[in-house]
Amino acid sequence: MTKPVSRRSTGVSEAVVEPIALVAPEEGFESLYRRTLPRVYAYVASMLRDRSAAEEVTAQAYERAYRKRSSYKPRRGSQEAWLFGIARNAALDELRRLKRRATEIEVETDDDHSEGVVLRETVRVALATLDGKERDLLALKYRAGLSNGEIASVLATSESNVGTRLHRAMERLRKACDD
Amino acid sequence: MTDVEQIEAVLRSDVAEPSPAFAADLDRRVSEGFPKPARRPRPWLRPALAAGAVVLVAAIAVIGTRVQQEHKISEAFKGAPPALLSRAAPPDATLSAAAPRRVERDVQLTIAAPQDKLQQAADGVGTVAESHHGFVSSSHVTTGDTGAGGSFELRVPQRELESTIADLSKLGELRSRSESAQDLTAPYGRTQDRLGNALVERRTLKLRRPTAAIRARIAELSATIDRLGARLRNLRGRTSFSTISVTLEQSKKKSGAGTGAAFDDARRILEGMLNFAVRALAVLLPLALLAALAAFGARVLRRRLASRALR
Repeated sequence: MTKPVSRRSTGVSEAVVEPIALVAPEEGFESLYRRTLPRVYAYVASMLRDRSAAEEVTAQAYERAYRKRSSYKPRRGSQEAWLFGIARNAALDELRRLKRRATEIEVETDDDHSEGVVLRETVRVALATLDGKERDLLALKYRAGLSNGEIASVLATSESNVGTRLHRAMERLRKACDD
Repeated sequence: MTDVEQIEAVLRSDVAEPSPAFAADLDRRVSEGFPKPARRPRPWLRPALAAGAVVLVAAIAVIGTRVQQEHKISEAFKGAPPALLSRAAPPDATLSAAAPRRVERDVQLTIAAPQDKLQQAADGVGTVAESHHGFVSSSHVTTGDTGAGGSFELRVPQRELESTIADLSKLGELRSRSESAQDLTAPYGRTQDRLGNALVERRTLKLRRPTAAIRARIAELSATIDRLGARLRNLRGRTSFSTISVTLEQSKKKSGAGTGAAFDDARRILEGMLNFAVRALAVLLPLALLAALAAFGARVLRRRLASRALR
């Protein structure tokens, strides 16, 4: 269940992103669940920044998806985009309801001052300076591992708009890291 | 300067992972198909539903009875204009609520029939009147190539009015129908009361010793009684029988079978379709506009709610 998940996209530009295989419509729910759990959890946790809330919302998202699985329409996008749309709505509901954003998710502190650890801390701090929409966008891209097309489907916008906004968010994040 | 690719690598690798306990629990729930928690037994539910059903049936029965009563009353004024109906309310407190209402009803019908069936329709008017225990009080029939038609005045019992109209409508194409009604309950009641009083007074006077004054009064009362009796009979006749005025006219010739007629028919059909489309658009366009606005509003609201949550 907790198998590591292969990361598929390698950059902001779709030109260098490996195409995400569209899930066959006949694929069972359990298979979708097994393939997406770590990413759904990672995405929800990055939005809520609370481990227990993230677990609760992840479970809620899968339950909603399971109950509404007959409403999935392949022409509207991949199953993953559909699932992440449900997870995002559940997370937003939770954010609105409980205002849990103040609680930071526990992250293991490392005494290691190696370059990698320093960079990770820098990125975390820089990420906190971005606005919620940008963090949501980056989370969909890098935590959820969705393609620009799938993100467009989740956010109900165009793929080119997603590309532009991702580019801007990454630029701001890079500048914040440098600062 | 930090490289974008390095940042992307950090974003991908620095992710929270679900705890094994949570993953195992969710695994189990998924494999079981997210079973819903068993409902607590509710022993009160069935009796409550049964009681609710009984109350509902009783309410429906009560409402149904009232509606039926109102329907019976409204049937008496069927076809009467609203102003007339409002006038039909008892104007007089002396009138008993149980007394049947006396309503005079007149109906005007225009029926069209093809020239070759005009005579048949004219004959049918009399047959229909007879079959409903009524009669034709007057008739006027014109025959010929131009202006063939007729007019009839029928008197039918009021209870047979609707069925008579229905049968008359079958004689041809019903072009128009208009109705009028007049509530004569109050004049009828007043006439009846005055007649009763006059009769009682005359009987009392006849028992007294006849003097010239009494004889004169008796004669006066007799004239009044005759007049009131005639008026009462007239009112009774007007309210127990309805008048149906039937105008029989020749229906227009149907389109011919030539090419010109076919073009005319095609033009009429197209015009009809166009008229229908315009009317349908007049309804559908505002609805579509409203739906689009609602969808746009919902989308904007969703986005605002989402961005507020993310703020």
